[in-house]
Amino acid sequence: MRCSRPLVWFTLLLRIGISLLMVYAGAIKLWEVGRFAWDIQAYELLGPKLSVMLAVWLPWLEILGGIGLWLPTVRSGSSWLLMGLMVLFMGVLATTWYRGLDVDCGCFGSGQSNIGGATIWLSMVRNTLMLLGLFWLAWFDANAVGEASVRDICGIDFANSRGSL
Amino acid sequence: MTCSCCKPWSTSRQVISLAILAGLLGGLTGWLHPQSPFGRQAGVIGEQVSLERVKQWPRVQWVDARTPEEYESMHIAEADNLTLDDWESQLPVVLDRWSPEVPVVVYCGQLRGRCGSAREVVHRLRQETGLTNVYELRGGWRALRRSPDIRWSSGQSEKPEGSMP
Repeated sequence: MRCSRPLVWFTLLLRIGISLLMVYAGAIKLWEVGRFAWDIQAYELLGPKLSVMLAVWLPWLEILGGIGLWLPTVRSGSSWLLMGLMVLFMGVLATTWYRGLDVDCGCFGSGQSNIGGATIWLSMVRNTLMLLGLFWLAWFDANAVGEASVRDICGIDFANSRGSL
Repeated sequence: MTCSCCKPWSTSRQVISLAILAGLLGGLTGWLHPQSPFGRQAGVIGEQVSLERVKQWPRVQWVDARTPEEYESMHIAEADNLTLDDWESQLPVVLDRWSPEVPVVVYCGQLRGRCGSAREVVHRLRQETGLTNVYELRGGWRALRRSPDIRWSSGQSEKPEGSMP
């Protein structure tokens, strides 16, 4: 894989941004897990019991996925897991818009935003960008993992900042 | 020579491992979280209660957490106004009417999912008075307006569309 310094820094910043966002999204859902269970139920796709189970499971998927982006052992799996979640979220948003429901998004905690109007498009754009970012990370890691590190591949020494390309 | 245990996990194995770990942590969350939605009576999650559930209770003490102006224009019959701004003067009225076996349900003017006043009133009521059977109405005013069998009261004796006498 051919690397350039801007590419590596872009990937690093992307990884930081996505992982922080995912951990934050999961943590804020966990903080008010009861309300999140209501939010899921309001989508009218799952019954009460499944909504409750998803409410305690989904935030941990986001948190572990966000953390896993930094762990070589599960980095690839985390990217694909989060990509799956993004596709799932976009599908749910689309069906909600199609059915004309006016419910709390629940994306970043309860009572933050509603589905409807421009909000759904903003959520769709955000999720699409996240999906593209995660796809980039998965592709980058698939080409980088197996080598010792980005430094070895790209010849960049972050400590001394004297890398050659 | 590399042993099988040292080979990197396949992506699918990573995803499954993360999902299982999230499930275990989710189970712990459901067990230990103070707002856990597990094991609650139907229609009650955390501090929120659905209108359908409230209608099954034989008696309810309603508390209106909207502004005094909104309260004066229209409110549920026998609801007391209680806001954070006029807390000291309005709280005695609520407590005078309070009965241990009757749950208190607080509603606010939630129109687009951004009502926080009922939540704050519920928290303060629980903290200051020690009451435990105080709930926030899920959906607030929006849910009430959609219900045809709510008794209303107002200075002008107006009733919203669909209300029953």
